[in-house]
Amino acid sequence: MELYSSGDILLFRRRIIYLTVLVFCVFAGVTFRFFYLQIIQNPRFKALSEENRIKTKRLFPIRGLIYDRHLRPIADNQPLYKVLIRPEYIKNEKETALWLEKNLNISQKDFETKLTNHLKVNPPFVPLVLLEDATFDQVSRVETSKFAHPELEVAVVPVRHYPYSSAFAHVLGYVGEITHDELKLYKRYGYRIGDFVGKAGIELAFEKNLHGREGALFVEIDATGRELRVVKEIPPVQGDSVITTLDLQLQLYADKLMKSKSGAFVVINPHSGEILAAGSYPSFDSNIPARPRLRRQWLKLSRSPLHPLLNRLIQGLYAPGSTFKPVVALAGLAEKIIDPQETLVCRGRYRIVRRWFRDWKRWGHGTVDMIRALAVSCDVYFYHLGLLVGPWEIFKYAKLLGFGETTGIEIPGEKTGFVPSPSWKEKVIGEGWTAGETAVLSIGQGYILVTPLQMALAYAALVTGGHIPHPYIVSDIISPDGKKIWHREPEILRDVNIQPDALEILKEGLFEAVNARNGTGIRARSRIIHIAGKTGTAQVIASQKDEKEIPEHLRDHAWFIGMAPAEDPEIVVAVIVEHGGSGGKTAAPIARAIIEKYFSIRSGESTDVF
Amino acid sequence: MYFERKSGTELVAPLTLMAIVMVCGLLNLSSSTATSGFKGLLARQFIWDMFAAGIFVATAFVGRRSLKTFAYTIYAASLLSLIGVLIHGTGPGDVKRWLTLGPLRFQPSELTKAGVISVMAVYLSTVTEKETRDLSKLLGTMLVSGVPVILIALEPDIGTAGVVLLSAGCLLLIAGLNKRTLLILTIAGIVAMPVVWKYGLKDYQKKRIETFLSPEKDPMGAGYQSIQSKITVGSGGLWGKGFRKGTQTQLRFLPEQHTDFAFSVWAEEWGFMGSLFVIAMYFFLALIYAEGAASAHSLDTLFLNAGVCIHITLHAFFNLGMVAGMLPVVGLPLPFFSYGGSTAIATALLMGLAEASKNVSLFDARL
Repeated sequence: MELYSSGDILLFRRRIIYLTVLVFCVFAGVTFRFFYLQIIQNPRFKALSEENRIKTKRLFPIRGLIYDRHLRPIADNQPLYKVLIRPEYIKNEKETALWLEKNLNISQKDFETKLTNHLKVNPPFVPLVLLEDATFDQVSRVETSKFAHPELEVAVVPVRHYPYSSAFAHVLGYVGEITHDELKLYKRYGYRIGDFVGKAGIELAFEKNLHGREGALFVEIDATGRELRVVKEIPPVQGDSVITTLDLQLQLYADKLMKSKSGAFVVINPHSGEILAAGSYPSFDSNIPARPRLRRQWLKLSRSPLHPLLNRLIQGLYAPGSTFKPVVALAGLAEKIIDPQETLVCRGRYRIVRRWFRDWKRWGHGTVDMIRALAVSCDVYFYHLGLLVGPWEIFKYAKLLGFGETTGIEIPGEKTGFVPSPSWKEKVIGEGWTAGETAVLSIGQGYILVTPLQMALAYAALVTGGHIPHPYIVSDIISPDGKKIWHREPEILRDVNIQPDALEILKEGLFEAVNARNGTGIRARSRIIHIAGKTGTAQVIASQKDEKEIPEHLRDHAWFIGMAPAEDPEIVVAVIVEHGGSGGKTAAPIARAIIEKYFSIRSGESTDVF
Repeated sequence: MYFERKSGTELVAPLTLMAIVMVCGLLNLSSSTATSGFKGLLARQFIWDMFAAGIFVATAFVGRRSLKTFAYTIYAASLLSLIGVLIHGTGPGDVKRWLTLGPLRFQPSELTKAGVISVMAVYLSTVTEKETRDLSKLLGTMLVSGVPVILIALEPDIGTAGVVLLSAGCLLLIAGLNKRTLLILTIAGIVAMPVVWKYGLKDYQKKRIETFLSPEKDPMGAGYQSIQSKITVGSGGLWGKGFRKGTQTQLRFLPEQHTDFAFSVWAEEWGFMGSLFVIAMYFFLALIYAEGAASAHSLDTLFLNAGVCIHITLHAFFNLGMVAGMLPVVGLPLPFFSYGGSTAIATALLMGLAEASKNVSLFDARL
């Protein structure tokens, strides 16, 4: 072995010093790096590691139930099944795709694009939702092949269910997935993407009570996303339930009557303002918007030319027709402009300035006083009365009775309707008010627009002597453990001062309309109970033709507002049937049937629910 | 007749350091495999560790005269097994890294580290200072290190190939590679880089380097390991989360947590103090051999000791740097700490040779 001079060795040893310096530097650097990560950056990484191991799973709350007045549920919840796939567990993509096509009807191409898109956007171990709303058959197919396809999974979340599908659609409203705008509104209450929220009706008005509070499951997971154990569980809090004033039996009965028609009805307690039944038609199955599976149906509904989503009860604006006549009569009586006993001979036409105004009955009604005029719905009498009273007084009393104002019912989206006045016309149309217009207004036609609910409430004033109640549907809110946490006391919305004698005349007129010979509401006459009421026909177009000759969509709307028992009414019923022709023919029988049903339920005779 | 060191007292310090690291490694292995379902790793590693320690002691008593033969034997064996691995190797996917012999599986590239360093040391000790200016003389050393590097790169295992090349390069620098040669080699290296990038590297390797340069770009893909390792290390804090209480580890967020990333488990559970402790062990080990080189009386002793120092420093640097997210994921183990026998045995062998070279023969002593 060759050896070197000591000089050579010394030279090499100097290089070893460089090496030692390098060793120092390397270890110092590494040490500093660990110091930096473990001491300086420790809080950050600690937080990250916490996030790493804990996965939060949302536990959706069960929405509070909605009950009818006898605590029968009219809106509850059902499980919604979702089929998920965990991409990491797919053993053979081709085979899985084939299985999906065969069993779940998901085309292979669809699945592949879905999967690639999903993997592109999501971190690993996030399951892909294949079916948002699987049918029972699909769920059982997945469940039975769990062994062959462990990548498939069924998840269950509660979804709103309306056992009576369309019967309560416009009162209860419906729920649907939260939209971007709604999210902004609800964010501070802890709502998140994917939540279901009330979109209309009681569901919307009482959203915050019904919703409940989301819970969370904190699950420790490993890197494969496998769930190891539950670290903490915050159980979801079920939403509060609401008790409504609705009567299931009555509602279902009325629903059956109205189903094939277009229009609205409402049954209200004139003293308290409780709504016993109400609906708008055409209706729709309120289960549809909450079900992802039925999205297409929902789209179709929202585009339907029949506007099934329009809540005609509070959003449908109609001319009141002859149902408005008692308002004019009230104005005349209250302002002492007319003596109700005073008679007028109706010959079927009335001349104002140089124009003839026709009565609905070609040859007239003969001699009529106010009661008779109300009973036979004599137009001529009310042309005359209207002109005596004047547009301002009509305007005043219409306003007092709540027309042109919202009623304050809980259901959102209520329309005010419209009561014209001379000054309005001058301002908006720029023309002066004419006597003809007063006459037209007197029989409830022309510019005036009302909602069926307003109509019912105005008639409630005739029952209570001028006290119009605040209408409501929800009487109580109860917590999930059954405690009553809120109770609604009836309140008076507006007070109209109606003298008792004037009230008597009007009631008599309404009673006669149903019960007297030639009364227009004769078809509302009941052998079981005394009904009082008023028919109305809201003109869609002015025509002299017989109603059968007019195409259906141009036919008049049929009104009937009734109350019973006539002596001391417990309920007021308003019915409008769009394009139903005359009110007496179409709307009155429906109102009568509803009223009869109400009393048979009350007396305990009728207990059937369907 | 030789005068050979018989006492072995000089072996106490490196052996103690080695043992401490091994104990830490075993502790760590028991924690990192607690939830993973790997069974029997601990016992196996214990046997490897004992074997490595035995090899260290045994090699340390190799006669000074047989050193050269010994070095060349290791080198030849590693070359042969490298060829063998290319033909019959196993590994993940198309990668061939392990040679399976019955129940044993070993990594020839690890043995190569010992082979190249020892042969380089022995060879360089015959080259005089003036001869280092002679490129043709250096050609031999380049060939000695170049052939196994290429073979390892073919497996492919760029990390190991790189560290072998770097070790050889460091030894050359100590041997006195002159500035002109260094310049030429550097320029050649720079010129070769894009060629290597384009043709020499596999896609996953390119990705690793790209990922290192910007790991947050792809946090769930290739950057995952690097980020998870940083989180694991960083969440440890000063005192750590406690033995077997590392959440990152026990929940297996970290791939390869008992092999190349074993140290991040340690750092999580024992904190900065624990990290500092083990880093210090390696530092002392490196210093022992730096000192051995500095106080060497012959060139082969100097080169062998420097080689061990370089070997340990490079492995500590690359592995800890990778674990701490300073360096790309190169896949280098931490000798005596990470799971696996090949690295431990190769390092022990090298350390033993360095110790053996200190055995002084009376006939050789001209100093």
